[in-house]
Amino acid sequence: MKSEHPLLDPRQLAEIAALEPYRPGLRSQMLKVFESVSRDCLAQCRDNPKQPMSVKLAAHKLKGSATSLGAVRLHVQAAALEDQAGEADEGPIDSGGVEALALTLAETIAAYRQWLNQTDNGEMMPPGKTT
Amino acid sequence: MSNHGPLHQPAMSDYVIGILEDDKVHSTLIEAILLRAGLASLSFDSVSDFRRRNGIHSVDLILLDWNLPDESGLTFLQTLRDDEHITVPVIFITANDRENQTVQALTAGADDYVVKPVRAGELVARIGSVLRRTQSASGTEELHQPFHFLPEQRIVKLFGHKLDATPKEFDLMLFMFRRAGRIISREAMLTHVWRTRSDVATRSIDTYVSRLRRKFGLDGASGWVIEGIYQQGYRLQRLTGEPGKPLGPGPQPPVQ
Repeated sequence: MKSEHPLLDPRQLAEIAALEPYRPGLRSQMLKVFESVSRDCLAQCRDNPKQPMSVKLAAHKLKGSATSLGAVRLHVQAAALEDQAGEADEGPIDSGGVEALALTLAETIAAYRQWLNQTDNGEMMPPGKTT
Repeated sequence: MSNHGPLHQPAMSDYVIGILEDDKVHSTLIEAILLRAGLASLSFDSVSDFRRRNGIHSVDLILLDWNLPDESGLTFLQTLRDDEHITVPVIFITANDRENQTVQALTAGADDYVVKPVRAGELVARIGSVLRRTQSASGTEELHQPFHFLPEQRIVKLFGHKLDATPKEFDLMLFMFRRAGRIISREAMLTHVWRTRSDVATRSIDTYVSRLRRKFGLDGASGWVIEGIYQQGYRLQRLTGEPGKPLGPGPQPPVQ
C-alpha cells in the first residue's frame, strides 16, 4: 500500500540547502552521518526483537534523525515502531514493522542522494516531487 | 555606572551555545544554523562528554536533548538547577511533543522548549529571546576595575588609558573577563575567538594568553591573573585586594 506521506519534505531540504554556503558540504555531510546513525538504529531494532526498550530507544533516535533530514515517511514509521515497542512490555516486536522501516530507509537515502545529485547539477527539485 | 561587571548587552556573536545532543544528524544541522546566525557552538554527545570537557564553564546557553545515552536531559537539567551557582539558560530541543513533557521541562527550570523539526529562524529567535531575558545588563560599556571595555568601539582601557590591543587580544580578553572566575577550556576559546576547532593549534592560545599576561598585567600586576588549570584550560581571577589597586610592580598605568 502506498504511503500518504512523502519520502522527503521539500521545505526541510530547502532549509538544509540554504545553510550550505555557511557550511560547505553540509548536504552530503548530513547524508553521511544519517546513513551511519540509521544503520546502527536499524541493527539495534533487528538484533533485539525481544527487548522492546532497546527497540524503542533506537526507533526514537531514528525518528529524530529522520526529522532533521526531512524524512517524513521514515519519521512516521519510526514513531509507530517506537509506540509499538513502548506498549509491548516484554513481548517480542513484530519484525514486519522493522523490515518496513528498513525499506523506507533505503528509499529515503536513495531519494536524498537523487536530490543531492540534482542540486549539485544546478537543478532544483520542485516541491512535492521528491518521492 | 557600576564599579564592575557588564553594563553592555553583548551581541549574539559574543555567545557560545552548547549543543547537548547524541543525534549527530541533528547536531550537524543545528551547528550550521547557529553558524549562519553568527553564533559559536560546541557540541557534546552525552552528559559525561559535557562534564569531561567542562561544558558548564564554556557555554552561555545550552540546547538540550531529552533522550541522552547516559542520563536523561530532564535529570541533567534538574541537577543544574539544584546548584544555585549555575544559572546558564537551557532550551530543550526534542522530538517529544507531548504536553506533559513540555510542562515537566519548564517546571524543572528550562527557559524554553522547542519540538523538532527545528525551524532555523524560529530557533535563532528563541535563543535571542532567552539570552535577552537572562542577561539583565544594558548599556555600552563594561567595567572590570581597573579595566574598562567599550565593546562597540573595540576599545579597552587600563586605569583610564587606552591599551594597544590587537583584535584577537581584545576578543580574548573580553571573552575571559565576561567569564571571570570560571574555568575556560581552550576549545571554548578556539570556538569563540578564532571561530574554529582545528585550524589553530592550542599552542597559539597559550602564546596569546602569555601575551595577555605580560602586555596587560594579567599576571597579577593589574589585580587580575590568568591561571593555567591543568588539563582544563584557563581561569581569569581577581586577586584579593582593593579593586583597581595594582598589587605588583606591573602595569601602572598602562602597559602598551
